[in-house]
Amino acid sequence: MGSLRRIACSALSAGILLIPSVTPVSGQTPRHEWLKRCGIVFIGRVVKVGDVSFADVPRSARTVVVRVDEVLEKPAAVSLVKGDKVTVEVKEPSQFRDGARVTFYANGWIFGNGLAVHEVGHEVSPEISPVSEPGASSPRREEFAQVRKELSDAELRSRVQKADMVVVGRVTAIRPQALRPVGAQSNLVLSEHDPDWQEAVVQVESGIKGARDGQEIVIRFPRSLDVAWYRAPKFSLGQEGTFVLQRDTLSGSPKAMLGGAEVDAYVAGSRQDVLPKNEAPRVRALVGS
Amino acid sequence: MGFVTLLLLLTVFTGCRTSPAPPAPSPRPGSTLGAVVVVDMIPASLSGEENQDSEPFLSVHPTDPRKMAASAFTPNPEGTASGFAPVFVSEDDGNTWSLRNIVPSAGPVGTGDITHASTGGTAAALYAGILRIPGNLLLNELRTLDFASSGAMSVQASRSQIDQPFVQAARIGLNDRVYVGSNDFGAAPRTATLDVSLDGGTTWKSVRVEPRDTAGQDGPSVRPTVARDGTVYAAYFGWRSFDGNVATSDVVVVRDDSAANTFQALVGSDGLPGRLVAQGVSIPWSNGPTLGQERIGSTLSIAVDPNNSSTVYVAWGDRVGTDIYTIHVRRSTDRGISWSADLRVIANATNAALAIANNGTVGLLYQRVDGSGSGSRWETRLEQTRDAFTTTQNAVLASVPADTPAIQFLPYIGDYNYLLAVGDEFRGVFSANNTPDLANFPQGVKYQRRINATSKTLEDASGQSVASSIDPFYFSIPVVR
Repeated sequence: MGSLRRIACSALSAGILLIPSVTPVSGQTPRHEWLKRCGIVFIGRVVKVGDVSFADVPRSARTVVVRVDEVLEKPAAVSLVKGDKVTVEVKEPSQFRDGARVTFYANGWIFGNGLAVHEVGHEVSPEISPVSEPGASSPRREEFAQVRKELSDAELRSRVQKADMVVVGRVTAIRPQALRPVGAQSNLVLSEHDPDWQEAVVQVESGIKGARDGQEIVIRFPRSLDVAWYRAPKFSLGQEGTFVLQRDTLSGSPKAMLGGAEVDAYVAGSRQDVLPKNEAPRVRALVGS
Repeated sequence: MGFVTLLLLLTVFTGCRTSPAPPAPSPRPGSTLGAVVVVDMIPASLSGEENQDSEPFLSVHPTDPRKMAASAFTPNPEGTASGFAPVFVSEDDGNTWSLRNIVPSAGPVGTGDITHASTGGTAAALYAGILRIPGNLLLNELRTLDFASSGAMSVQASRSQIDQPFVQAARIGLNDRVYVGSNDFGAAPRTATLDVSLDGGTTWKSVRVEPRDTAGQDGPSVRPTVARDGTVYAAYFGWRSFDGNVATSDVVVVRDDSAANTFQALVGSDGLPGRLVAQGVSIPWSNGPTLGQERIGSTLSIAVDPNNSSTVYVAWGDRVGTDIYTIHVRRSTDRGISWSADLRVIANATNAALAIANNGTVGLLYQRVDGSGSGSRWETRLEQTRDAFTTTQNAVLASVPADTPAIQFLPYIGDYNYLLAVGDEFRGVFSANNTPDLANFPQGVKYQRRINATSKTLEDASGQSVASSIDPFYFSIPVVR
């Protein structure tokens, strides 16, 4: 469904500058927590409490129809623009009245002719909002960007902390998996979901965690284009990067051959674990933090 | 894969050898199709999507057929963080569809495989078999009592090393019977397996239906079908040898009559359970773009006459001569004991799906590559016959470029699609290039997502162009009489 990245809306109005601050909790605002857990953020005006905006949505006392004023974040695939009516299933309907202007932090519920979402959190906005200059920078936009950066750093820090090895290196060879699976996965399996394991031999330029400068390591990866594997990181000869790695518990063979000896094999679990080389300073900073 | 190759031991011949291709069926005179409905299932609220929504599947509420659930390799629009993948739901006979995230799987496009069947009930019960992500060929057998709700499906059973779960279900008496065909590598070398539950998924029994020697495993497709009288057939590929590129396979049918679930009602001439519909066919195994950007290797379908369980049809794909992949259709009218020669042969085709309507009309859905190179097209066609394919009534549902859009992953359009008989309609799903060019859809087409019919392009909510991709399409077509 195309990129699922969250996109920041280009038209953050100054209206949201007037949204009241929310109370910090443990050094972070509820907004931080909501942003961690939501995929859709928009400002809208409550049209009717206890109603729905399209036929597929079950009406209840908790469903609220909201007309969208501004879309702050949404997945790229989702169609949501100013003027759309959205059904929000809110947590506490008594907090809403018709005509209220509200920022909703939400997750998708029903994607149909219209959009219905579940509330993660909300902030009631003032009624009168000044108009921003087109393209003007907004403190709220900066706040969202800052929150996203914090979340991104926290996710990367968590991955690095859980990693068995983090290196900056260069792929010097690509080869089929040299050692066959052992144990429970030793039966040969011919499936359309066959990962077609390959090995990338990597010359470590800089060991950040669990590796020495100059060391050679083996990263195992699935070459398959099958639906189960196509999003897994692929490696190519000459590729350079900052690699966040786990010991291989996926392929069925924890060891690889290198220079005639058995060594631990590693995997990069997701595309987020294969970073550009120039991300190394950021990763080092996170390891040290 | 280095594969153990065993010689095929042909001690007894019980099936029909591949025979010369039958003549192409004649167009059936004197009847015309009524209203045909073809709907692009991507809803308006996802007009910006560009995913490859391949391998569609369909379930219809048996007593309230306005309600349907469908699936494809469709991602949760918000990503994988929630841990749930979507199904499509329609409550208006397929005219509109919406997505609800109720399937517990967190793959980039939902699951690794998904099929399902509805038994209706007081709401809209749905049984599903998925390969859950993350997981290692992790089968989850799932149930919801109401697929139209947004409640998560519950996991009834789970185990690893399973391929291609294929679900059929029926309410027999007061109980839901659920049958899940799969290729269970935990049972190697005789991997063809049926998971059976006679109590709505509360308890399960795994039945190993392959009694003969294999090449180390059977083929991925194990397909059950259930008649109204409770007779259950299943078809599978008994792989007898494999040379790294081609499997030499039997097409085997087993049957169970009494809910004993031994699936030993049919016995071959070798004294072992299962009749050989075809023996020693060559099935190319190509896990890369091979036929119109699609992989090939395990196309299989079976359908029983709902009102006469003696009549059963099987369709499968193999290689004949220089064809890339050829579909064959055969029939038994004596409860699977004896089988016809080929009734229908279709070159360069895949994704055969059979269904039989209440009046005995047989529907055959398939997708065929017409032409080659940049001019090639994926043609999706439904054939109907009332005389075992001597004559057919055909409808081309889609004819779209086969070389665009570029493949994102495999399967490109699906390792299978699906067809059901519902009252006086055949209903089904297929995946195809979604370019809104009406010439691509000879029966007409309805888009829910935003399109520009003049420029023949897709648009997002703000009117910006959206690249063409593979979408799932629902169709309904009247059963010929």
